[in-house]
Amino acid sequence: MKYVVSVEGDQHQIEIEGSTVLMDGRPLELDVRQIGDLPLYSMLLDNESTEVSVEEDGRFRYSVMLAGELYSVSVRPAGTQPAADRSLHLASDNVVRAPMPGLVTAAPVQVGDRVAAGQVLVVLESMKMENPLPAPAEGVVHQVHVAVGDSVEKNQPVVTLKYDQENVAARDDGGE
Amino acid sequence: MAMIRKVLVANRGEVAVRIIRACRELGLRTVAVYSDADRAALHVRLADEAYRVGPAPAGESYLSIANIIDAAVRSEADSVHPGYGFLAENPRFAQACLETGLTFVGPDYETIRLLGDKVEARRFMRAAGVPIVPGSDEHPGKDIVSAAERLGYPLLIKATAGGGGKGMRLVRTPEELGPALELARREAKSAFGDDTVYLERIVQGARHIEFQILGDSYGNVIHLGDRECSIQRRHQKIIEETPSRALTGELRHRMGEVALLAGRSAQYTSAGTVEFLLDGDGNFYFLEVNPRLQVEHAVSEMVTGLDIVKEQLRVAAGRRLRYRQEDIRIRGWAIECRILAEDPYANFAPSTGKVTGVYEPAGPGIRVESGVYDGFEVTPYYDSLISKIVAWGETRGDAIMRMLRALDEFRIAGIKTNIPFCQQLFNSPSFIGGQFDTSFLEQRFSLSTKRRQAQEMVAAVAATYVEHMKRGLRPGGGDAATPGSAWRRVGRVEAVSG
Repeated sequence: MKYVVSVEGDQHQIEIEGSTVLMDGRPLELDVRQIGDLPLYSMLLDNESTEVSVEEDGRFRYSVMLAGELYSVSVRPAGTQPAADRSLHLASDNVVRAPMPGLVTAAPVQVGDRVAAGQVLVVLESMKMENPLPAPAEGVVHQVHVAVGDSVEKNQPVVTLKYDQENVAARDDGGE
Repeated sequence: MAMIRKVLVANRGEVAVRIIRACRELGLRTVAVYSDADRAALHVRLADEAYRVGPAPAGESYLSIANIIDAAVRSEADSVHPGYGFLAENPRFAQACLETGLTFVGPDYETIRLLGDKVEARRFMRAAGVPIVPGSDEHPGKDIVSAAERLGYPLLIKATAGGGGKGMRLVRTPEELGPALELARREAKSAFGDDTVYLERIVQGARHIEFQILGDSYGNVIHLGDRECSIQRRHQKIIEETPSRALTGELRHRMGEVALLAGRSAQYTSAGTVEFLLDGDGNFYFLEVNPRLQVEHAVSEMVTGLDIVKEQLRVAAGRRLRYRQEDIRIRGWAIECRILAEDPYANFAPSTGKVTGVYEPAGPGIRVESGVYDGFEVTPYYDSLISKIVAWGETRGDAIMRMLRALDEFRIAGIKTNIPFCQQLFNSPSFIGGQFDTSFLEQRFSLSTKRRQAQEMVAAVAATYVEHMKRGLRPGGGDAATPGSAWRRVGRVEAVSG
């Protein structure tokens, strides 16, 4: 099976056929063992022993941790369409969610506020630290789902934004 | 004097485990306390008895003096070890223990109160002849603006009741002073219920050097050498080592004498830490005394061979220190690395969740203090320290290589940790060369994104393999029905037949 693989912008052709890997045409012997049911793999690549953690990061996307460094890898079968750019994907998702459980200690924005990319929408206290949650892109605050003092779970929506194209429409309708 | 037979450990996590271990080795019974988030935590499982002290938020459990005292009474413990953090530096807790007839394993409450008030502690130490950082509190009554002029800019606003960087503000110019004062006072008020602040001169290029002291109730105070704690992020220490590369023998001796002076003046009992700032010219200034066991105490244990927690328990039982200053010999080098549940690739955001797998390093010269295990839940309620690695070596170079070896062995799945950050730090020329001060991490070090070609290739193959296996498992995607068989298909059958 042939794959088009890109690591941090560099593209490679990788073919896996039994225990042989063709890396840009160069044959390598591969032997992999998963450790228990963890996302942890012991790899022998031409007898070079490494242990890597491979976590799925979306369709065709993986985060690989190797010798203390993190690599973003996209893998798609040769002949298929490249996966959508993740940053675009994020920007189209207008719900900002809590990346961790915590306590809301500040919610400095209000419905109708125009916010810049990176502007703090909510501050979550978790593990004795204050964690600002920034706006992923410029937009207008459409809804604030939490108030100061609320406990939130991981992935709970905290703020919904409207991005520019939607904002134009909202203004044409006379706003919110 | 008090007899100690049964110790309530008023803490959680790795430090509770550490204290329980010392108690067991001394043949003492142990009592753990736990919040609802910690029923299955390691300290509960290792203790002889365990009592619930409230719901998950620390304010209603580990910080509740009434609930902890109640657990001590119910368990008929005769003593309480507070660990570090939570109630360890709360004089009201130490006093409540005393009034309940419990032996508090730490200094007496008046000493804790004196050292907890920064301005009081500075006044006391200055009077005792200990050098302090010049500050506005030396001339009380003068207004704060003229005090700032006299000290010169940049300067630091600090909260009298301060700690953990709360109520602390850097002021670069006279124009910034007014607004910064207002902010610092508000922050101090909300964090400590006290908005008193004072100004301190900034010590440029300072290193954070501290001395471990031990005292008994007979006026004996000794120190166990220095610790270098300049590698900090957001006022939180990450790496500590002993001895410090920055001290010459003569300077170490002088600072040690001053640490003893500070301890003796305060009639200090139990374990404590005298913290100093050291500038590039060899001038040092008293910062504060931490009247408790310190997170980084283990490095001092590794080079001296003492068990600080056992000494605390002995001294609390009214025994004399078993060592004189001349008995203390420093052997080799020890480094500690704090493993935090934080994602270094996402601006150190806390990482919570279930630890699905953990393999801790071991082997020669490695000591791990930890509270995690397979299935352990990292919650947002407590701080992010999950484990500490301490590496000992004959030389600093040996200790660093050993630490790198240990970090490389550490496997933890299910949560993110700062391990990759620490690996890069221990590999950085500045750290290896000992060239750093307290601003190093925030101003001169960042997580490298430099890639190595060979590793990129391995990463690419690994991800491709996982994608390949996944496809093999999809209905109609291949002949493999289970991970095991798919595995063999790729890895083994072919190898055997080849």
